[in-house]
Amino acid sequence: MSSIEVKLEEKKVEERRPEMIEVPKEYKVYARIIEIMTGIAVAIMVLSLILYGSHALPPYVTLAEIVKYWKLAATKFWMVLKGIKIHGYDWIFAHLAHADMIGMISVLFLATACFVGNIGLAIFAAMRRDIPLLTFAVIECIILLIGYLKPYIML
Amino acid sequence: MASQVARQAWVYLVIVVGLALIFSMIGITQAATSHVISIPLWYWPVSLFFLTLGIGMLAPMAGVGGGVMFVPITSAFWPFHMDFVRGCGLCMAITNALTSSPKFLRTGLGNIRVALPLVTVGTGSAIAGACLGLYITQAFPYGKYYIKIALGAILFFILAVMVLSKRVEFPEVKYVDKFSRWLGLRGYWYEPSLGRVVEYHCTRAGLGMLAFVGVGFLAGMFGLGAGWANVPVLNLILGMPIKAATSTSLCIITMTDAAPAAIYLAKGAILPLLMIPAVLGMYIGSRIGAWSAVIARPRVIKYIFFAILVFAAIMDIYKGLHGLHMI
Repeated sequence: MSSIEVKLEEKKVEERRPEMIEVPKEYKVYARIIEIMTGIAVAIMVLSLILYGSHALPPYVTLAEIVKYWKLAATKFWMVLKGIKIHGYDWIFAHLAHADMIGMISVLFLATACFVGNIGLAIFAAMRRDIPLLTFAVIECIILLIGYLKPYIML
Repeated sequence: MASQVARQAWVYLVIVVGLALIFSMIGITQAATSHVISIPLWYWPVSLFFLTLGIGMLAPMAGVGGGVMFVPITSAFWPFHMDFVRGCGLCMAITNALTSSPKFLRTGLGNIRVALPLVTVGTGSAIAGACLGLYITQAFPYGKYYIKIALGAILFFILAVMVLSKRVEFPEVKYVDKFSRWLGLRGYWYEPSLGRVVEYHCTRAGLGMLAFVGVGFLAGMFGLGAGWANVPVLNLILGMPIKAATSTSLCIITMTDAAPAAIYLAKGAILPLLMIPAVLGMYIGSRIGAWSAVIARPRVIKYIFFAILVFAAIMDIYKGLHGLHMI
């Protein structure tokens, strides 16, 4: 039987699926949270691309500037190009009137999706007194928070 | 019969288009960087879009993540600094994992209870890896060449893991240790090919957490998704069935790569005009690829991907050594 036939056979079995299995509610909540946040992130990326492509908003860094300096390390790139030392997220919010900087917001949504999802998990675990899940969801939230705030709490 | 032929034709079309996109983008970029041809500025974001579209179309059929292909190829053939390549790679890996994991969580294939203890150590070491990776390129004049050589060496290690590690479809877990039992590491899902619900228990959570110190570190340092390492750890150490391990690996990537992505952003190592086309290309490509993978997974794609990885690894090491004036 070829691999294609096997896959078709699987498909037939799936159609006769006898019952839906019960997935823990916290999994569904986590899935919904990350789905919404990723959807927003992708929408922001598309919006940023449209704004850039239609010249509705000017870019903070033009493509010509990127091509000129992209062989430099990130710190040097910004120092040579804009004379700024990047440290944290303030520079993104300070230039939101630029099409490309709007796209940066999408990364914040992608990076924080699991943090929000873990808060959802922790709430469910606390309600069910599920100590192992609660412990690791809280630890993960703290580690993620340290990662996000690292530029402000460490050099 | 006609629909089977049509499906087979679709798979071959996706393979041909995917490979054509990857190789044509590499070829044109090489010609442009060697000043053989001159190209307009818009080529660069467009080339990234089509490259990641091609990778996304083929990666699910080859059973690998997109990040592990993107970072070596772009660092070997595109002229950007390693910082921007790794930042872009992390954004791609995380977007891919975030879009794929919800459907696995809803079917029970993705298991957060198993993933969480591993990602707590994995995220911590990924943060350390990201900081060290950025420190090396910024503090040392030849830092990017060290990273390139290390990436090339790591690629050979990844290939060895992929080729040599045996995948056990349903590992037999004879004994569940105390810690794993306390964590409640078990799960179940409905397996259509068997026509029944598959239940499993995981063990050796402590050893798995130890392994994730290294896995997270490599993910953060090189901007890789690290699915190539997650799956063997879940399957061979914790005894998780391969299908559940592959799905849970995606849930793990959503968490381990999140903090490093924020760190790269906070250091200015993510350029939207490069990141957005690459992420969108992968986003569209992986959807086409995932749909095609349901129909067929020809083994030849895996070998082609391995060959590309070997070539990219050699190029990375060569460029690194050349940059250090050692060859």
